[in-house]
Amino acid sequence: MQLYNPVHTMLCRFVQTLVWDKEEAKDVVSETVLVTFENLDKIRDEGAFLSYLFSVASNVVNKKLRRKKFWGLFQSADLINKAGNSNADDKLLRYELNRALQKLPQKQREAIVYYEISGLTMEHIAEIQQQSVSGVKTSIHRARKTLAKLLEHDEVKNMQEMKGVWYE
Amino acid sequence: MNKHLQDYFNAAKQQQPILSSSELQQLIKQTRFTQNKFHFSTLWPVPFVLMGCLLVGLWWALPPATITNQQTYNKPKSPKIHTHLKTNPATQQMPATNLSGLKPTKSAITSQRQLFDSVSQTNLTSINQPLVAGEPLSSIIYNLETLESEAYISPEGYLVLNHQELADLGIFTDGQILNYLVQTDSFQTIKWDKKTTREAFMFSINIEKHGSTRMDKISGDSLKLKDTKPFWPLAFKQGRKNEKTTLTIIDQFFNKGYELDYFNEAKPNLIPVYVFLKAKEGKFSHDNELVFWFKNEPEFIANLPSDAQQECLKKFGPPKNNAYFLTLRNKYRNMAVSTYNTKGFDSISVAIFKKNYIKLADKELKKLKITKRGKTLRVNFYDVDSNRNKTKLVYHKVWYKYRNNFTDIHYGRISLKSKRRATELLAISPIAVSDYNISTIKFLRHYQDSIGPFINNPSYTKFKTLIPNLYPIYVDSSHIFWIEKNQHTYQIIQASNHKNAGIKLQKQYLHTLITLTNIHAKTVKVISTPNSRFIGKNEFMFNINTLTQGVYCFR
Repeated sequence: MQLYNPVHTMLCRFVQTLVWDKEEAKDVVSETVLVTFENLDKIRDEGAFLSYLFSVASNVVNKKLRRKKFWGLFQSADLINKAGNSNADDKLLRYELNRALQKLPQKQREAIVYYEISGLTMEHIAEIQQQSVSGVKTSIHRARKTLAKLLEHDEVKNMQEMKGVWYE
Repeated sequence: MNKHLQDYFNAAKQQQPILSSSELQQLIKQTRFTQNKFHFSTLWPVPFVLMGCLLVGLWWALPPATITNQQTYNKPKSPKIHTHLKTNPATQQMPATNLSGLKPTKSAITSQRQLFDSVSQTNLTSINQPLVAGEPLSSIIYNLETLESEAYISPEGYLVLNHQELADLGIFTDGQILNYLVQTDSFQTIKWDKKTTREAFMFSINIEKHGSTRMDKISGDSLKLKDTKPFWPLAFKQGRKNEKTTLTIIDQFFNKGYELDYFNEAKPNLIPVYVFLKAKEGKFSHDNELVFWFKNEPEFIANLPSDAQQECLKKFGPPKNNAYFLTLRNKYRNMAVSTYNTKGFDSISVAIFKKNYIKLADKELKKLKITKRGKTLRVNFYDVDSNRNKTKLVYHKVWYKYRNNFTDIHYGRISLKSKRRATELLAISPIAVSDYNISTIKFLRHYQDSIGPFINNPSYTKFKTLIPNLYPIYVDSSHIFWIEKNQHTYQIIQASNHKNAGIKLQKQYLHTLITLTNIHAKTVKVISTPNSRFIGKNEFMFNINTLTQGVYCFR
């Protein structure tokens, strides 16, 4: 646990940003930690612990999101309520951020969350995502650009059926 | 990185960890981390599992002889039981229809009743090939031979036809797939980029595995498209039945904008055609019952078999000519102008609405927690629940209409447990919001937590009774909110210095224009009541409570 304690907050922030539901986020964090500790002997050194932990977290989160997408559980009215106690305005901002993040490609989404929210360095992110530092920088830049566009202009999504007014 | 985005990240960083480090430590202590060394002795269950799979596979591939016999085509006729309702007795959910009271007609359908040959192949898409010539009859659920001795009208009053007869009406089905394409009698003139086009409205129903329906719009100036029938149904209803639920899906009207009133008035002159889609593995997971209401008009009758024509004459009376239905339609036609622009309401409708609704400046709207930001409209409302202790923030975000498509309303709810927040909140909330198609109202709360079309919402009646207690707040050409009247709302509205606040009008008449209900100006007689008055040339305002009594508005 001495190895884990310093990165606990980073991991929780990562998971909670991507997995909105409080109970599911708890499951993800627990599962990540258990899997990591189960395979502790496979981790070669302390430096690799962080990247291993976040790799596992990323896989567990993606599995959850895929399952949620398939079963169509994403209902805004329920989910906002399950966000846990915090300032209401912040909650709304986080909720909007969560929805915008779902629209990004997986690598960009994770890179931006690792960097901006969890506070990992570019080198760590490169190790987790198995790509170069410049690749990480590109992902983050693109993610920022897309998020800014999504959050500011509020793109129309989920067009419902056309409600035309019929005249003659 | 811009500040706006930074705000979002800061909000995300401020969240507290969902689990504490000590809780995780406890979890790790409780979990036993064991390592199972691989040994061949651990594989002992594998042969048993393989044996079981083999047995199941053999049983599946070689069904017992008794089951096969039940599926042969030459089973004895059971003329009393309606074929469309006939299901596997073990799974049948609805009682078999007893036709013993009806005298079976003489069958005019002999072996000449051809199933596939005369069906036009051009109407079929690649996914819908139920009527391919040469398909073995044994694969078809419906036993055509038994249909020969049955009446065309079921006890429920539906017209029941076989595949060929349905195909002659434009409904293609093999019992599991249904494909239907109809051009309605509604057209719209669309102005887009200074170009005016006239588009026909096509309604296509394609029911396959998931039982979904699809609506398509096809452009063109021609009134009739190739291979469409010169008649069309007025409405369509789909009902699903499975082991757990019996669900009737909404009635859909092919002539959009015509309300239930139109359908109810036309119903005595409509012929319901019944189609049954049986649940089958790989296709539907539930039985589908569909009813198409066709107009009882000469063109429709002419496409029925001669025996069916006689039955329809007995049951539904003589066919009406088109002029009758045209008059009926004109009565309920939407009163808006014939051009449609991309801003939502047309200019004349907006002018009418502005006179009837309260329009506030942006500052006053903000006090009501309605803010406009760029292309979006954000609404934050507060509510007090029945306990009066908790408060809820209802966050409502509306995207503007994108081109010709309607916006999506995004709706969320958050629980606030802090009592301190309760005192800061305003007890103002919207009851409903309308879009530019004024006959559709979407409820935000109170009566329905999810968004849905009001015409099928039983809360509409309840909503109508509340109209006198609501302020209609005009926000823009696409959105009008009805907000509960209370002291706070009144103070905000009264404080407004906006010229078009319309407060005097509100106070005097306390009514609002809910629907421009498909009334054609020239064909409707205006009934003057004490609660109506002229507000301009050829314009009336009227009390909503008297709307059902026949007060109409025209321009």
